[in-house]
Amino acid sequence: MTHLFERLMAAAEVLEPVQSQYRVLFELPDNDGPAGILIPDPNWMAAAMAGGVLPPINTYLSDLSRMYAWLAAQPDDEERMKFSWDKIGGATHPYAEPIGPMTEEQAIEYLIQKDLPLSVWADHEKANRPRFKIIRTEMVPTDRNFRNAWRIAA
Amino acid sequence: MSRLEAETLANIAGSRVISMEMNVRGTPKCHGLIQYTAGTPSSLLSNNVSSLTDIGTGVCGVNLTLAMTSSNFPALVTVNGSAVLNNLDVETRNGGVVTALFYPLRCLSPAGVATDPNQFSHMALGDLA
Repeated sequence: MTHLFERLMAAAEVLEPVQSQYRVLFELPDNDGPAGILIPDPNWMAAAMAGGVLPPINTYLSDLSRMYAWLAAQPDDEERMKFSWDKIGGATHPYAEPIGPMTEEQAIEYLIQKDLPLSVWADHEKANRPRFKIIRTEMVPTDRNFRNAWRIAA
Repeated sequence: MSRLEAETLANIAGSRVISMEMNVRGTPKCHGLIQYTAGTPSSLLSNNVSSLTDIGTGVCGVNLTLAMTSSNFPALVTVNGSAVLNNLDVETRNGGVVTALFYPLRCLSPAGVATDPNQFSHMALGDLA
């Protein structure tokens, strides 16, 4: 199996970038900061929709879980700073068997799990108010004068 | 660990990037070019980037497809072609945000990210898992 980095490089050479029509508006549950906006990368979207490039999402989540477990086991920040993938036996996602093509909507769902914190999307349907919303690109305001006051409407 | 240092960077005209010429010493393993289009950051050119996170005024993060080797790696960040962070240790700059390994640049200094609609930012990172 070729390394994920090599697959990404090869995909970028031959695939036309795909500008997604979607954005993900989200808020961190334990943070009073403004709502964030996740913007899919066009090369990544092209690879996701073509298939044969990206690893299964559970390999990312598994690696992340192992990383957090290692960090939590360290006595202080000085030790946590020494993290490397070698210390937990290496990352699994670079050599995982790639998955097939996704629709644009499936790719956005994949991206939410990969790039947003677990606290945003896990059990979100049980939350009192929405932690994230998938919106169309044109719904993002272009006037950023009050950017730091943006919130998700209930 | 590779060392990243810009030599020449970018030609732009107005708010549109016409071409980007870059010569980086070392071996960057991740590229992201972020242009503010109508005030909203958008990704134009990239390598190993899955998405951008618009966090707030002056702060924009880059989420990587492939994890970096550790919490310490060299970074190069430019705004409109001028290096603002050159061969900087990202972990040090971010004050030890080691939980951000899958999106390591969430907390780039506000001074290091373009906020004007006519600006663009570029970042490059070295080392991968």
